[in-house]
Amino acid sequence: MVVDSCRDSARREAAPLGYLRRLGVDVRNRVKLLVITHWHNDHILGASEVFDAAESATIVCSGALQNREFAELIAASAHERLGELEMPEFARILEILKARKSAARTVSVGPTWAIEGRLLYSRGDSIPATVQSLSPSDSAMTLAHREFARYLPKYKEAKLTPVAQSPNNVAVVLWVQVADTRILLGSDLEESKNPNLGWQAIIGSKVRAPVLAHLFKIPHHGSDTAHSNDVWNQMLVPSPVAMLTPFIRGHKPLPSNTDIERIKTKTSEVYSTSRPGGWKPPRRDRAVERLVEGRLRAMTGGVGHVRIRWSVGATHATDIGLFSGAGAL
Amino acid sequence: MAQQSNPYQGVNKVTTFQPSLESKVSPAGSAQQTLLRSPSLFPGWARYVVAETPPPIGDVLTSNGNFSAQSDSLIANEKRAEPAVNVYPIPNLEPPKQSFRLVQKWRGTVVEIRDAEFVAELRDQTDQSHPREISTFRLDELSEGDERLVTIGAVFYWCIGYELTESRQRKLVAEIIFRRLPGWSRSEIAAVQQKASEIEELFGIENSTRAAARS
Amino acid sequence: MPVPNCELDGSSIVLVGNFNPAIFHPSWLSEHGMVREGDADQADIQVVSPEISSFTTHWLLLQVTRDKFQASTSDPRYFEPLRDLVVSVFRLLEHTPVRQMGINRDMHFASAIEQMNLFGEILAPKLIWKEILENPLMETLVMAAKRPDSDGKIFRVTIQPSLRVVPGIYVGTNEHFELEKQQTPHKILEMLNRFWGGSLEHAKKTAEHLISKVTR
Repeated sequence: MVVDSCRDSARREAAPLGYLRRLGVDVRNRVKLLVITHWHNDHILGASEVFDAAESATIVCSGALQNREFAELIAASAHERLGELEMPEFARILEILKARKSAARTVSVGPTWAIEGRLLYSRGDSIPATVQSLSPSDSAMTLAHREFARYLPKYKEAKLTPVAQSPNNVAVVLWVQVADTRILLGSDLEESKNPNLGWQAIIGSKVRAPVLAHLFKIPHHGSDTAHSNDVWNQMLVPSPVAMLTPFIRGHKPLPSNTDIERIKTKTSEVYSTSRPGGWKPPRRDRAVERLVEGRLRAMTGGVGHVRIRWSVGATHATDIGLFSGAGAL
Repeated sequence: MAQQSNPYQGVNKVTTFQPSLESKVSPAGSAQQTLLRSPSLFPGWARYVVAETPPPIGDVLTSNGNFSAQSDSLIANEKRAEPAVNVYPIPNLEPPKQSFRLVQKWRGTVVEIRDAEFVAELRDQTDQSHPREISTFRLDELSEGDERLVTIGAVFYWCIGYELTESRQRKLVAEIIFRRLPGWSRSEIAAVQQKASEIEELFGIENSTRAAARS
Repeated sequence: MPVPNCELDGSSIVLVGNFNPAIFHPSWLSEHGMVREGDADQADIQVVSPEISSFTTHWLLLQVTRDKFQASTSDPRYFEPLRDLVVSVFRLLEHTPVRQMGINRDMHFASAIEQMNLFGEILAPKLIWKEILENPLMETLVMAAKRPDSDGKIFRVTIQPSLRVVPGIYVGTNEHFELEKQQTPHKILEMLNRFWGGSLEHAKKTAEHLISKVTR
């Protein structure tokens, strides 16, 4: 299973694809699931490349995208190349779907839509495994229309590029179980005071199994807007192995120092794919650097890598590897 | 037949395109082509005239610019056929005297607006392997009239380079150029909705009537 | 030898079809938001008539005849605005019949005379020419090929001594697009949006590849 994607600009490839190939994985036949947890550019870049290579994979998208508005958004973004990076990725995914549809001659080979409580994958052999989506909730799916609506074409109005808005209510949170090991992948879901949205909806969900995860992908780059004490107390073992990816939102690097301190009160084992705090912009012509001095911040660093290996039946990770700038917080 | 005035009157005032800026739309010799290329008096240069209709077959453009029939007009007992053309000299278009050497370009998208400034995510157009960047811009950095274009989702180009003025002065300059596209037209909206219906079908989404209300 | 610098870099988009030149006036462009009001106010208008319209702003050269529309700029800051202008014009004039499109780039590189001679020798070896001509020189070379991943019919590269940057080398490219029959601009605009960036990028790569040969 591949969850989201980013681009390794140094290697000029989709990062998950390169990683799997270097491990010797037969991507074409062994990748069964590609989950796009939401449409923001830090989660989708290179996804079409992965999908193209993973010919046996079912693609899973957030149920919040299963509406006319999102279809119009993709169509509108292709017009005059309004879309930045995200919509062209979706457009390419559609082309692949179309080609597979005509080859398979079935009515639809469209995505599987992830919604609260849906079983996305199940395997019952010697190492049983399941993948279940815990979000988005019904209320979140309704709210998603509003986010898309502002960028839909209206007569005589300006043509604008869709920009992701906060809070993120529509990301797909995944509950993965492999044998006795459980993983909570938090995507970018943020917290909400509304019990029908965000993490509150998941905590209160009747379809969530009352068991605890050992491994936690901290949502939304460790920001306080995605923090929920209830998640740490009710969904995770004490001091789980946790990981996150830093980012910059507006001019605010995530996680902030306050975020890091808060997270470290919840677990002693938290790893980051790169050092938080923002990144220096790349080197450029000296005259350009003089002119823009101090104005620019890179939104991402290099493609850091946290690798966690967990043997079947083990009570803790058997191997944690940190590569290309990844480290413990 | 009334004597027509020399249609090439003033043709010696027609200035020329320099070959490097000559438009190149092929194929040459197309039957639809009504741009006639006159014999060039200056090697490497071309002169163009515009004709409403191509000249009759057999007419030849003489070196002084007059059409004449191939028959010998000195002995034929009829007036010389004048071509049924209207001719307009095409003004020469010189590029500006100053030049600009681009060193760096970003494509920016406005993601946040504050009082007198806005925040934009930037994608390097000069080296696409660079990561996305973020920066803040002041409204007073914009050209007059461009402030009204600043809205969430608006796209602009941020260009840095050397300007060489007419007086050969070299300056390092930065300019923000907002993308200008006309508002959505009804036919464009119809095309988007048609495409969206195809996407819906591919995605297996049931049709919705919400879209109709918006246009 | 140092790599020759690109001193002048221009681009143009040319459409062949049936046009009404009288429409094209700087104020028409600014009324529809395609150029700044200030640019339109300062425009230098040569002629606006039913047969031909021709004017310049500080970055745009626009010339329209009954069968040809040409928009050019020699300012690389305005390459994308040039494309957007053409798209905007024909989104508005959505019933204009068009049939062909050319996407062009013109680059002038300053170089030493020795580099020019070397370049000419690489592109057109003189040995067989010297058998019949005295002091032969290459004046123009045109190569053509289809650009991969493009719907363009042909991509032409022209090499000449530059007439604008002396001494210097001119590398010009033209990618030609053609519809099966004259029709509304929708399809041509789709091709412009899809292939414009790649065409200009390929032009630059081609020029840089060729010019790099004179640094040996």
